[in-house]
Amino acid sequence: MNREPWDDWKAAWRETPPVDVARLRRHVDGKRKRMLCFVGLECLVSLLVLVHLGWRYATVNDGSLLGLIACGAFLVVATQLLMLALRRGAWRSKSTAPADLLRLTIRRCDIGRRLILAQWICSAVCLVAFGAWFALEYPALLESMGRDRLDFAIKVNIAAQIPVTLALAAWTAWYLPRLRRRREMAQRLLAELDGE
Amino acid sequence: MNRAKRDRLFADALRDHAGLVARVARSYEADAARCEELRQDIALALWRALPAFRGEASLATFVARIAHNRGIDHMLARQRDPQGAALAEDWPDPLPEPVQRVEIGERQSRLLAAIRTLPLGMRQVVTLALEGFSHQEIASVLDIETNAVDARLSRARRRLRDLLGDPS
Repeated sequence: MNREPWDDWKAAWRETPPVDVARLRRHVDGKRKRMLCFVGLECLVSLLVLVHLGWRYATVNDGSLLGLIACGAFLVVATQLLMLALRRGAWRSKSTAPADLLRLTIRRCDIGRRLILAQWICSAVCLVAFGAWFALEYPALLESMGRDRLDFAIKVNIAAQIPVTLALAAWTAWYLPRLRRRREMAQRLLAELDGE
Repeated sequence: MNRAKRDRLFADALRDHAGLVARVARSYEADAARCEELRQDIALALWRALPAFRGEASLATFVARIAHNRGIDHMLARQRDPQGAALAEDWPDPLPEPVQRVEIGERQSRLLAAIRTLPLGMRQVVTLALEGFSHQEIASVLDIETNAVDARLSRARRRLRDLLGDPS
């Protein structure tokens, strides 16, 4: 093997501009604080939702609303558990070897696709369940709330559901191809490693 | 690992191996702004991974492993290979003579462009070898056999020589 080009490449490679270490540290500190705030906020929101549902459950006397509140709290917890169950094995690789990380990426992409599918199925099930509950409870709700208040509640519900569903559909249309491309890239890189 | 020890290790790693981080980042990203982002990502990943550092291997090999893994993540996020962009103006470090600076800049530019065209396995091995890691250390960083390092490096050198020509 000719040593000359290698030594020359090595010399060229080692010529590095100075790195602003203080700036790197500032970035890491800032990012850590933001991540901590985000996790804290997420926990706080979940807690507030559960506390609110608990408070509503304790103070509301209407039997039909009590059932809805209990269903809501159950759905919050069940959704979280379902997401955790689906993600099992997706967080950590067996090792930090590049090939294992690429295999993990492929697995995460597959899980991501399953999560999206599960999300749509859950949404559809919730919608059907709510529709069925509403149909069953309609006479009681009409009696307790009156037609005007009930109509208003239905309109608010529809006005809130439509943009959320459209946004979710748009996000799915954007995210799924991205997930597919990421998976293809990971497979190609893995082939580059395995093909050695 | 307690917070003080982690902070101290992190400071040591950045002080001693910021150059390694920058060079590995350059092998995964040609665009200067994105390369800076990748350096920052590597630094953050390093801080997060430090509790796993047991001191069985050197800090340099630990940093190299984190840097390469973040490089792969970066490629996956970008969903494209890194070649194509021009050499950043901040590369290389100011040298005494402008002519010499241009010469080294050009040599680095060609070398980096050639390295970025290598398949991932060869690229990782060759950048670590250029950093001065032994074959055993490279095997440890990439979690592969030493034989595989030898084979990949030999092929990578041949490929680089074909791409860059023999300057001697």
